[in-house]
Amino acid sequence: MKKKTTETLIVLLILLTLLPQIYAYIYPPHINPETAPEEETPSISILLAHALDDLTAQNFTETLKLINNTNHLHIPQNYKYILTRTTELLRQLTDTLKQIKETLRETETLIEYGKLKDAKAKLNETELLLKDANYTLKEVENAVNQLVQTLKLSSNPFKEKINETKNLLNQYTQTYLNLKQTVDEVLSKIEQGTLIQPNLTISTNTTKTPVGSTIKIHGNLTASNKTLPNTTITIYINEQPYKTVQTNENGKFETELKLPTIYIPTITIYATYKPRETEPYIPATSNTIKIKLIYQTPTITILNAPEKIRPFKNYTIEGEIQLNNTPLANWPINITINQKNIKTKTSSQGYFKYTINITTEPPTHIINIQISTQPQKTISSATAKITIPIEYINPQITVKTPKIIITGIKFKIQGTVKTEDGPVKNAAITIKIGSKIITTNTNKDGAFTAKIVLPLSTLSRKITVTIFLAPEEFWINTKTVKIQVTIINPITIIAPLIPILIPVTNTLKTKRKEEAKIVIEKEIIETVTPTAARKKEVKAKHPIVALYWETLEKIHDKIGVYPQPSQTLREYLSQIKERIKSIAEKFEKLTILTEKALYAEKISKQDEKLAKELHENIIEELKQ
Amino acid sequence: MKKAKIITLTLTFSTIFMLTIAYMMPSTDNYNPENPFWNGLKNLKNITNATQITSTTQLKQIIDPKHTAILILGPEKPFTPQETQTIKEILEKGATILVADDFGQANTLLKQLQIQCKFTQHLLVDPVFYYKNRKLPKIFHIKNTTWTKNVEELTLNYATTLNITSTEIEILANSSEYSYIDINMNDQWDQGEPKGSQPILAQTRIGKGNLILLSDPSIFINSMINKSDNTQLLKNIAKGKTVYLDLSHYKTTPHTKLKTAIQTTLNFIYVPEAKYTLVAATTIITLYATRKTKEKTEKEEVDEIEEVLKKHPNWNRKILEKLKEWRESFGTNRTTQNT
Repeated sequence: MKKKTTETLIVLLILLTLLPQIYAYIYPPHINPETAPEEETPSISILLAHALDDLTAQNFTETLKLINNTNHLHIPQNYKYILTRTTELLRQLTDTLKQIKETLRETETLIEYGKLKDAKAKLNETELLLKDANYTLKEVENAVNQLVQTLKLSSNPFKEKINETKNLLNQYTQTYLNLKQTVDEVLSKIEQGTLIQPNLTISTNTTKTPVGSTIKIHGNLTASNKTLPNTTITIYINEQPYKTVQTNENGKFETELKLPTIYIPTITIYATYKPRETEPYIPATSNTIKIKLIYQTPTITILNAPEKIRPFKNYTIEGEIQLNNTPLANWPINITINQKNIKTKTSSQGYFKYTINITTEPPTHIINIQISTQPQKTISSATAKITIPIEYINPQITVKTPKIIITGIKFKIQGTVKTEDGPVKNAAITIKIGSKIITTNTNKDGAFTAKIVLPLSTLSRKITVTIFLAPEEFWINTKTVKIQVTIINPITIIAPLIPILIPVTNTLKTKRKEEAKIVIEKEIIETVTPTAARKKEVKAKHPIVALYWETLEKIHDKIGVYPQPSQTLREYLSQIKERIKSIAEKFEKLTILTEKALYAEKISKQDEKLAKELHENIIEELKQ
Repeated sequence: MKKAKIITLTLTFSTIFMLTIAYMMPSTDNYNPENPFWNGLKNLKNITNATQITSTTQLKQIIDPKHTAILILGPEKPFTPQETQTIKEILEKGATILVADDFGQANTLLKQLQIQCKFTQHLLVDPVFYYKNRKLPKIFHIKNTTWTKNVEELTLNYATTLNITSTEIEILANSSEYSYIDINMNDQWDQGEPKGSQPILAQTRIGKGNLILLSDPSIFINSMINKSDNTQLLKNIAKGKTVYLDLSHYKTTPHTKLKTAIQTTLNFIYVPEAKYTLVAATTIITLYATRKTKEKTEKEEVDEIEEVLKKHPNWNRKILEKLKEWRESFGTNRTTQNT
C-alpha cells in the first residue's frame, strides 16, 4: 500500500515537472518557418471562389479588393505566373462588367429623357464592351482551368462560378438587346408617326448674372409643330431638379429662377418633359444653357508673419484684404490657429492684425494659421493659410568635472546651461555615474552643482559620466553630455601589489633568518664557549644546549666558578673537573652531547633523552 | 606525486577547455539575443543595438525615458508588483514599451497596469492569407500610424490575438476576414470559435509614454524578422531611441546560465584591480614554482653525493661530483645518438 502511494507520488512529481514542457508542446511560442510544412491545398481556391462569388453578385468593388489581396497569398514561386495571369484577367473582366453595367444604366437614363441618339451611341459602346467581356471571360475560364490543374484543386466549384459569370454576361447582353430593341422600336415608331418626338427649347434673359440673382427663363414645348399646353416641365440646375413649371395654352412657359448662392464660374440649366403613358410622345430634354456667374473674390495678403515661433513670445501677424485693389474695410474675418477660432474685423483701411502667443505644446511641431473671410452677396469667401514652425532651440551646456575621482572623497560636478536668450532656469539635471544617479536643478543663473561621493565599493576604472538636461520649457531641447573620468579606489588599487608583496616579504624574512643562522653558526663554530652557548639563539638551536646552560648555572651556584668568554666547553670542563668529582663524569657526558648538538647535522632522540636524564641526575646530586 | 600532478593538470586544462567551449558555443534559447539560430534574437540585437536588461531595476537607471524603447518579448515569468511599478513609472515619464506576447505571462503586467486588454492565448489561424501554412498568418489590414509607417504586411508565427475592452486602446492592425481563433487546436474552425478579423496590434498612452501591444513576439526572431515588413515595424518602434531588451522574464537553460556566469567573471576580470592582481599573482606563482623545481633538483643532486659519502666517508667529494657530471653528459650524448 505504502509502495503504491510512493509510486503515485513519483508519477505526479514527474508529471508536474513535465507540465511546462507539455504546455510548450501544445502551445509552442513559434515554429521554424523554414521547416514548417506547406498547406496541402493552396488557399487561392478559397479566395478565387469568393472573388467569383462577388463578381456574380455584381459586387465589383469587393471583387477588385479580393483580387488585390491575392498579393498576400502564399504561392510557390513556380505557380506565381499562373496566379498573376488569372488574377489580371479576372481584374480585366471585373472592370469590363462594371463598365457594361454602368453604360446600360446610362442608356436607360438617356432613353428615359428621350435622348435617343445619345442612347444609341451608348449602346454601340456597350456592344463593344460585351464582346470584350465575352472574350475575357473565355480567357479567365482557361486560366482558371490551368490553375486548377496545376495546383490540383477541385474544379467543380470554379466551373459553377464561371457558369454563373457567363449567366451574368448573358443577362447584360439581354438587357443590351432589350434596350436596343426599345430604341429601335421608338425610332421606328417615330418614323411611322405613331410616336412623336416633342421639341423642348429654353432661353434665358441673360447669360451672365451676379451670384444669387434672379433670372427669367422662357420655354416652348412643341410636337409636330403643335404646342403642348398644360404640361409639366422640370428645370434642372447643374443636373439637379430645381423647379417645375406648367406650359400655358400655347405650350410656352416663363418663370423666374432665383439662382443658388454658389461661387462657381458657370452653372448649367436645362429642362425636361416626361409624357404620360397615354400620350403619343416620347420624353424630351431641352437645350443646355450655360450662365456665367458674376462675383468677386477678395485677396488676403499676409504682410507680416514670423518665420518661426517661439512659445511664450508675442508675434504679430498682419495683413490686408482687398477687392479689386480696394481695401475691404470692417470686413469680418476668421483666424484659426491650430483649430482655435478667433473672429475679428479688418480696420477702416482694410488691414487686420493679430498677436499670437503660444503657451501650450502643440501636438505637431508647427502652427497652422488660416485667415478666411465670409462670403457676402457677390463677394465670395477667401482663404489664406500659413504654416509657421515652432522654433526648438538647442541649449548650450558647459560642465566641469574632475578628471580623476577618488572613491570615498566628495567631489563636485558643476555646470551652466544657457541659450541665446539667457540662462535656462529650473532645468532638471540628471547625473549618472555608473549605477549612481543624482538629480539637481539649475538656479536662476542657469548654474548647477552636484556634490557626489562614490562608495568605497566602486572599483577603479575609466567611466563615462552622463549629464542629462531636461529643461522646463518644451521648446528647449533636451541634451546629453558624456564625459570620461577615471575612478581610483585607494583601497582596491593596492590589490595587485598583494601577490607581489607577500612573496617579497617572505623572501626577505627567510633571507634575514638564513643570514642570522649563518652568523650564529659561524659564531658557534668559531667560538663555542659556554658564554656563547648562553646566547638565546644558541639555546634555541637545541634543547640540549638549554639543558647544558641550566646545569652550568647550578654548578656555578655550587662552586662559584663561571666559564670565561675565552674558554671552550672542554676547557671549562677541565677547569672544574676536580671540584665536581661526584658529577664530573655525568657533566662530561652532557658537555659532549652539547658539543654534538652544536656541531652535528643530526641528533637522535636518544641523545636528547640521555641529556635530560644527565641534567636531572646532576641537579639531584648537586642538591644533596 | 608525479601522477597526482598530472591528474591535477589534466583536470585544470579540461575544465578550462570545457568552459571555453561552453562560452564559445552560441545559445539556443528562445528569444536570446546571442542566439544566431532560427529562434534567437541576434538580428534584432544587431538592428536595434539593444542593451540587455537582466533585472527590471536597471530601468531605474534610464535618464532619458522619452528617447527610450523597451522591448518585452514573450515573457515566461510573471511580473511582480515592484516590476510593474518600475515599468509604469518609466512609461509615465515618456518611454515607449512594446509588450509582445502569445502564450506567455504578459497578461500579469497588463492586469497590474489596469490596461483593458489582454492576450487571449488562443491560436490565431488564417486559412487563406499565410506564409507556408495557416499557423503563420499574414496581416495586411494595417492602420497608417507612426509605428506602422511603411508597414504593409506582417507575418506572424504561432500568434494569438488581443482582447480589447476599452476605446482608449487604438487598434493598429487586424487579421484578415478569413482568420479564426482555433481554441481546441484541431486545425479547423468549429462552432463557437471566434472568426473574422481579429486585433493583433494596438497602442495606448500611459502618462507621456506609449504602450504598444503585439500578439506575437515571434515576429522578431531571426527566422521571422525578414518576413514581410516585420523589420520595418521594429525600426519604427526603435527610431531615434535607445533600445532595451528585457531578458529578466525568461527561463534560461543551464548552458546559458553558465555562459552568463563566465561572462560575469570575465567582466569582473576586466576591472583594473582584478586584472592587474591576476597578472601579478600569475607571474609570482610561475616564478615561485620555477624556483621550487630548481631547488628540488639541486637538492636531489646534493643528496645523492651526500648519501654516498655517508657510506664511504673516505671518498673524495670532488671526484664524486666530477663522476656525476661525466655520467650525466654521457647519458645526454647517448640519448642524442639514439635520436
